[in-house]
Amino acid sequence: MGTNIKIIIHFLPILILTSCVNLDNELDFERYVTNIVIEGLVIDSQGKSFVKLSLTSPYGDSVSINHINNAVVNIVEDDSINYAFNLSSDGYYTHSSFIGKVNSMYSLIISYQETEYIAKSKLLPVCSIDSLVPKVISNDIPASPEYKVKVYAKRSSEEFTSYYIVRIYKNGILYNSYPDLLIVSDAYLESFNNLTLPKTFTTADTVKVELYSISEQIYDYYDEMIGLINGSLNTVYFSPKNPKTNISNGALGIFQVSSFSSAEIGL
Amino acid sequence: MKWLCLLVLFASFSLQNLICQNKISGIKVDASYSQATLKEIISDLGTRYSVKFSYSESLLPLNTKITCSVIDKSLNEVLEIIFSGTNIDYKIVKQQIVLFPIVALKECIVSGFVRDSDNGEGMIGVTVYTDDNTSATTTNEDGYYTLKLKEGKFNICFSFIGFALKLEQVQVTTNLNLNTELVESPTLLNEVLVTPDIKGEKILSALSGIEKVDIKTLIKLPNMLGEPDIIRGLSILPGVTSNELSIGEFNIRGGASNQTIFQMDEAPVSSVSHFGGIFSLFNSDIVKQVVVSKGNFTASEKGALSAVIDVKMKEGNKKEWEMRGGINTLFTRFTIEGPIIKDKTSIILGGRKSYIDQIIRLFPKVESPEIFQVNDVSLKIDHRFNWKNNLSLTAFYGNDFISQESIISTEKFYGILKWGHFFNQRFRMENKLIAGTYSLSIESDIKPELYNLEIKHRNYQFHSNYIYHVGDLFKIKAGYQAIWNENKPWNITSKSNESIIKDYSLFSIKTIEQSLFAETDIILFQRLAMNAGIRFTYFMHIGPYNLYNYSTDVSGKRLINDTAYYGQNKTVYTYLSPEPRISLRYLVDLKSSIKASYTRGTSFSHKLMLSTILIPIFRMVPGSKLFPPEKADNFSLGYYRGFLNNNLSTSVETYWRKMSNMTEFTQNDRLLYDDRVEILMHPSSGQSYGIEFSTTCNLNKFDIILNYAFANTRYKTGNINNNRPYPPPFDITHSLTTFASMKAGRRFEIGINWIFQSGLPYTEPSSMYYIDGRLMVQFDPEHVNTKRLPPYHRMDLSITLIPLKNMHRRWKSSWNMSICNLYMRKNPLGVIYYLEKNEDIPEMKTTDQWKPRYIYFYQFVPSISYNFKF
Repeated sequence: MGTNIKIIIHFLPILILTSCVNLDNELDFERYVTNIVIEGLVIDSQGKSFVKLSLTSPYGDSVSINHINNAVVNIVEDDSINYAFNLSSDGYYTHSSFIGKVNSMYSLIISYQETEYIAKSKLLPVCSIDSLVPKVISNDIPASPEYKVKVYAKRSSEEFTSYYIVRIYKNGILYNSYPDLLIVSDAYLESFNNLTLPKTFTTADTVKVELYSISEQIYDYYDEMIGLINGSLNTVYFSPKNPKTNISNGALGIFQVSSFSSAEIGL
Repeated sequence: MKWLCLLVLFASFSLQNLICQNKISGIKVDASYSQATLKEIISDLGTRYSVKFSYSESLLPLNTKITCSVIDKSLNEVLEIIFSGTNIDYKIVKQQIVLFPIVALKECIVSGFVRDSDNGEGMIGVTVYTDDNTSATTTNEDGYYTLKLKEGKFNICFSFIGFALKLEQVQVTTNLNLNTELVESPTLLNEVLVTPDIKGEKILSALSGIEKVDIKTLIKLPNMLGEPDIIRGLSILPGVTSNELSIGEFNIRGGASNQTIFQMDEAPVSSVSHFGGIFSLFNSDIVKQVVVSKGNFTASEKGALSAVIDVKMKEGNKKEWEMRGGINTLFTRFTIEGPIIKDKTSIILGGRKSYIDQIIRLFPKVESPEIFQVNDVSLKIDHRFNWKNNLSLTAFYGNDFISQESIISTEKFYGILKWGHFFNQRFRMENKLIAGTYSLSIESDIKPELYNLEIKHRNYQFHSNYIYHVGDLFKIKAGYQAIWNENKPWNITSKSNESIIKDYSLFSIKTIEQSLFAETDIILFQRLAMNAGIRFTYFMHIGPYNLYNYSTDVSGKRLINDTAYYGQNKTVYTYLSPEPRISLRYLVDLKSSIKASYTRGTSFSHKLMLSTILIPIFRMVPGSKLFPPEKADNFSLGYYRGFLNNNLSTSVETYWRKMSNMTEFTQNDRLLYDDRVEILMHPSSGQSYGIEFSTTCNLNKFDIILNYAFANTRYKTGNINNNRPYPPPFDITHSLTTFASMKAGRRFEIGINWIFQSGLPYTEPSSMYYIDGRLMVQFDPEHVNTKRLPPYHRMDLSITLIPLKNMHRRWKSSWNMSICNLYMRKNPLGVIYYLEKNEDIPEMKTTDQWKPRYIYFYQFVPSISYNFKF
């Protein structure tokens, strides 16, 4: 929705300008600031919630991930039940029995080098996917037609706007990876009937779709990130801003709290 | 013999009178009077020095008492002393001194219109003065002037660059209406040196920061793609910088582009560019003059925070019919003008049409839209009923259209109806009705997203101004203005039952501004002039509207506490803004002046520019308790000097501006369709100061312009740069513009300009990190816009070939070749970051590196055009 507007605002200007890109000049960047990077996910499925911690790298030719293995990570449910997440691999903290509950409020509390980083978000319900329906879009090679897949689902609330992340898997591999992060809002949608996935498939592919409910704040974070990426981090007559995180004390990253539903078909 | 006797008699009489005068003047007086009446003094002088006084006692104030003391003074000097301050004058006739009263000469108003003899159009900025330099003024935007003179005989001079000096001899005994016409004539250097000093408008006027640029200067500038564009040409003015990617996005004296207002004959224009941002709406064949007011406005003008750019349209030729037009790389244009009734009613009608899509199809590798059209039509009708009444109608319609899979179009309409009425020569009235609409429409035929989307702005205004002149010494202007704005930010209608889009619209934003103003132009002392006024504007935002009440959490995020609904026409918010404005001008001598000014400007709604490149998209958010109307206080001080009878004019002007209640916003698509837009807005403030030098020389064969400006602008926003001041992305510290045009022989005209600007600021990245498998760049939040791109400079060239046949025929044509960026410099406009593709997995991109690159717009743009006039 509003695709045309988004193209006008973000994409077309860069499309025109990239035709004039000078590939010869290199820029020197001098300043490096170390920040903690936090990726937190709380989900209503056992064993899938995690917290990933790392440090930023200097802007340069190659990027290395500097994991943080000595932080204290806790997730508190409804300000009462505390779950201590433990290090399971480099920078990766999990809890074996933790399951998120819909409509509960979750607080992420991280202590690292005498600084506390806090984030809070509510686990919102997700709409269930009724079905996935393939549609042939190209039959140039009859033995191997191309398909688009439609998602049928209802709005989870008629009164309030809901926000979602959509992940598409093809043959078990995440298909809309970087930079095709897909987020949707149902602000002016009657329903999810006929929501067509922006990917094509062929015969014998298995298609799996996961919907993750997110809050408006998390939607804004990803929307700003997509805007930056699609605009090639554009600085032409514009001051780019880092996406606004929901984590305190200058941390980068996001604390995402989601319920999810999924559906799968074989073509 | 008889004649000889008469001659001898006359000579004797004259000689006798002369001898008597010398005898009386030679008398030396020693006297002292204390509170003596004039009658007593006269009697004493007559007795002591044997001088006879003749007078009529009833006509003279001889009971006036004076005190004076003189030693060894001539009788003439004593008489000057005792009669000073009275209305008594004297004359020596034969052997007596005749006393008589000075008759006060009546003051009269001489007024009228100065028009171009070629087409009958009123001429703006003509200097009108008496040859004894006791009185001078300039014509206003209608070509009208007034002079206050005492009874007597005068030579009134009319002077304007490029036109022959006109002298009208008049006998002033009562108020006089004096219209005149000036004939175009090249100004020759030797003539310039011998004619008397002329006070130019820039030196005389009390207002500073005003640049009036004639169309004849603007069309000499090298043009982009063959189409002369008057808006693009304004970049040669000091303190004016423009966004290269979108014409009409101007930054003037540190103001963001939304702080500059464009007008067409005083009607506000929401968006001044056509699709692509390469061309403006204004057809150069219909424009007379462009007035740029930088931070200084009179109380009668609504003004703006930063600047007002008013494009004045021609009235149309009232003498004879003519056509003109041109064909160039992207456009074709045609204009016709002429008298419907000679010297009374004129019409000018012009249109332009593009063929961009046909041009793009010539390049098969470039994906061309099915249709890409840009069109506009301009009309003006001017009718003079008589010297007391004038009616004019200006109308503009523009339409841009792109069709690929969806149809994207914009429509613009602006109309102005103006009625000027003179009650008498001192008192006149101006009434205006103004209407303007702008709409952006997207029609999607792509299933299942079948919808119509529309964003609309409407503006209606009524102005009623009353002006009372007392010659050039004193003028009062007062009036009332009302403005109705309606902005529909987002309106979607579903096109079919199969569409997944439902009807959705935001509330229309309706605002009313009502203003009362009073201003005066006055010559305080001989050299000191002042324009001072006050404007009161009452702003109302009316419903229907949902007003959200916000609080802020510890992270700074805005949270909604509650919502109040305001019904149809209910008042949501009001604001009263007093806007004082004062300008002073001190005339140092006949060639130079010093000016100082202060102006307060207010913008009652916040204009959020979501996109300026290609298609301008913006949203108006009305002022509220949370985000009050924006304000700017503008101060300036300048020195202006003319040389060579103002054919060479120079100025230096310094300014300081304080901007408050501004807003910055997060680039987020929700700005378009979410009625809780305040969540994404942040309060901001700013300051800027600078100095501007300007030199302009207009001679017969040469025009030379040299302008330099230094500017320093800093904004402050809570969530940016840790609430520390930072330069905005358009901040240019140094800018130098030079332009020269010359006639080379009878066939060629050459124009060349060179522009230099220091580099634009940008923010450098400070680190990199991964989120969700995606490599992200962190921009240094504590050093916003601290780095500078390399300087920008380019040279443009224009060569116009005029066939010799033009001299002997009515059809006048010319060929123009222009090159923008002659030495092909790649001027960086910013930095973008480029992803390298991973060859192993074509559908996925590597997350190893964002490569930075400079980006530039164009490198070398030649064009050719054919222009004609008939």
